[in-house]
Amino acid sequence: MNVQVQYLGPVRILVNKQEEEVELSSGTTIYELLQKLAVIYGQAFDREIFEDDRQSIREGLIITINGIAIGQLNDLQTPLKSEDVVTLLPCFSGGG
Amino acid sequence: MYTYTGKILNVDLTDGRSKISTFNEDFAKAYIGGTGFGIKTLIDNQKPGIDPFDPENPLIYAVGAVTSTIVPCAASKFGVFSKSPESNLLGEAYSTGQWGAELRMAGYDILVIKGKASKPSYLWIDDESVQIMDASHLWGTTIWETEETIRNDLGDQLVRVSAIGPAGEKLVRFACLLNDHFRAAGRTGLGAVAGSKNLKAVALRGTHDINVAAPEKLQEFCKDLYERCQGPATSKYRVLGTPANVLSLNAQGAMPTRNYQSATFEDAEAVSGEYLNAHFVTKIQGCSVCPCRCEHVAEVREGQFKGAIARVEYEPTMAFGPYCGVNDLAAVIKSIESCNLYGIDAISTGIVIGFGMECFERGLISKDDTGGLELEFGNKEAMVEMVRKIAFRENVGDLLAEGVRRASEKIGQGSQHFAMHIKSVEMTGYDVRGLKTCALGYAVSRRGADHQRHGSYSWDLGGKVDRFKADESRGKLVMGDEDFYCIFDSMILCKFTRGIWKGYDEIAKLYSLVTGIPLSGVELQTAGERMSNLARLYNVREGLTRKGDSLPPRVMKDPIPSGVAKGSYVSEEELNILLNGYYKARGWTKEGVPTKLKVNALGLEAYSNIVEKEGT
Repeated sequence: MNVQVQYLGPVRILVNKQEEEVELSSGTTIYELLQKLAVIYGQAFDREIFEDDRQSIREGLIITINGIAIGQLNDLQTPLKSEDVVTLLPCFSGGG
Repeated sequence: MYTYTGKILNVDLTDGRSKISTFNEDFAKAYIGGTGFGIKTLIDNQKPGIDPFDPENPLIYAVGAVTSTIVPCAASKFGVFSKSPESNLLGEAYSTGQWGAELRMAGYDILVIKGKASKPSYLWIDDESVQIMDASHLWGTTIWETEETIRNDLGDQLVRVSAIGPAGEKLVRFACLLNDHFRAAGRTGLGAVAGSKNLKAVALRGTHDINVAAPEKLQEFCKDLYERCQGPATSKYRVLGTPANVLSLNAQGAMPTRNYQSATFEDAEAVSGEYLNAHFVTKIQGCSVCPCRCEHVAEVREGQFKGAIARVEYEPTMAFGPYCGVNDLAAVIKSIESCNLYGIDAISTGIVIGFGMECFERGLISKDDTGGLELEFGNKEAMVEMVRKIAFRENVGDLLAEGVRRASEKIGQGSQHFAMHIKSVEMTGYDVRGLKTCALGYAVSRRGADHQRHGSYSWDLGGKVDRFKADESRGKLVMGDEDFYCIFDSMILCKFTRGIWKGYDEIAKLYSLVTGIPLSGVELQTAGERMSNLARLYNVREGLTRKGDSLPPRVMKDPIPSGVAKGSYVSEEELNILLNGYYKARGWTKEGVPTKLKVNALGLEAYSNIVEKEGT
């Protein structure tokens, strides 16, 4: 199956692209997708995404699936479906 | 006490006199600084029920507990307080830059200005010397011109200036005070309060040393803080700045667009933080003693708005971008610059213009009213010109200068339905129809529509709650956020660092290292709760009821039409659930009034008459 991955904020600068289509096997979780991307984009991406224990997402980053934060779903164990849109975005705050 | 000067400078512009009063350690410990000092001083010095433009309405500046020290991201912050000409309730706004540090170095923690000068004037505070200077030659000038002229007149380029522009002079209800070129005490119309006093500016020079209680331990503490300030928790601010919120909020269907007609903007990429940094940002600078440096200064280098320069944050980008249907960052930067020069709150101005655009498109106002402008969504030239018309009260700008609530009451014809305000203060950059914890924070915010008193959007957008459902448990979340932010705004710490702090205990430790006053985390948390309750008591005294804790009609009746949050809105039933939960968490009555039990528990017995009047 294919999912769309969108990159916003500092992550976009890191990977140097706005979005891409990623091919995955059926039932892949969001955690497994992130691990796959970390292999592609290296240590800097890994540090941007994961806390040191690699069991949770770094504070300051939000990941949504079709616009819903994964915390509202099954967190990192949320399984992906074909044509899901996964967005990696910076945590929100202020600005005026 | 260390760091605190313990001095309050009281200035009467009517008779030109000034006098010093003092506060003791008990006051400092109970109210900390900033927010606590400001609200306490206001409730004690302002006669109940007076008009905000009455000369006796005090304009109060208060610095934070750690202002003027080496604490990173905190050194120069201050708050401004008064009765707001927008809401007729609590007016408060915060700024940073360099001015706040200078006030303490001049010898004062609090400045209270009352009365009205007989002619345009500015206040010149040079350590112990306090003078009221003629500002006739400054009246009508922009804020930047005012700052430059005062420095030249005084022969000192290091003088710090907090000033109003023509908008404040003309009593635009959301006029602001600006200092250090790009830093505004923006919201709730405190610039208009200054204008009503014929007060053009407050100029400062301070040369006193500030002595902290434990300099070596503080240095160690700050070294660790400094490193944390440069870590991943603040990277967004340092790399892209807060305009990074544009695409983030748009992706989650929470971007107020075209006066809340929609929650996603089709041209968000064109006004994004990513695009801004790639095409317009020329430098990134910071406040005094700040290791983060978040100020992204943008300049328009070509085209019809060439030469415009402004510090660009998310909220004004939203207000002059998606909110007005404009997809050109050059026009956004020009509009922000105009707000800085004329002295109007950029958020309110954008929201007011968006309201005006909807009125125009609905035929409720015409080109006769706009002075020939086609004030339609997306018309960037009309938007830029309308900023100026509002500041100078020209054509329909005179009506819009009254804010959306008053303007909609005058226009009528159903326009009140889409006048986006809470307690008469214009909405800010989160479409709360799909963020129900945040919606509660907005509804109960003590200074009107505001995200800064709570930050409760984090629960919703971070997926920590179901953002599309309302339940009573959100009350405790918002209360916790508000009280924590009271402490942030009393110390005063930059909210961009909130991700690095380990909680009340750590902040209390910092407080004691700086001031020498022993304070536990629990005492600090109680102080935050005290400030929230004192603010509520002030607002109740000035006429606030449960009815005022509400949301704009569009939020409560018009579902988000498309996108990931399609169909979401906050019903009246849901608002009541949220309010009930919040009042319960606070220990208030069903009408939202602090009980006597709560008042006494927080040491606010002196204000019992307010709750007794409400029968609680």
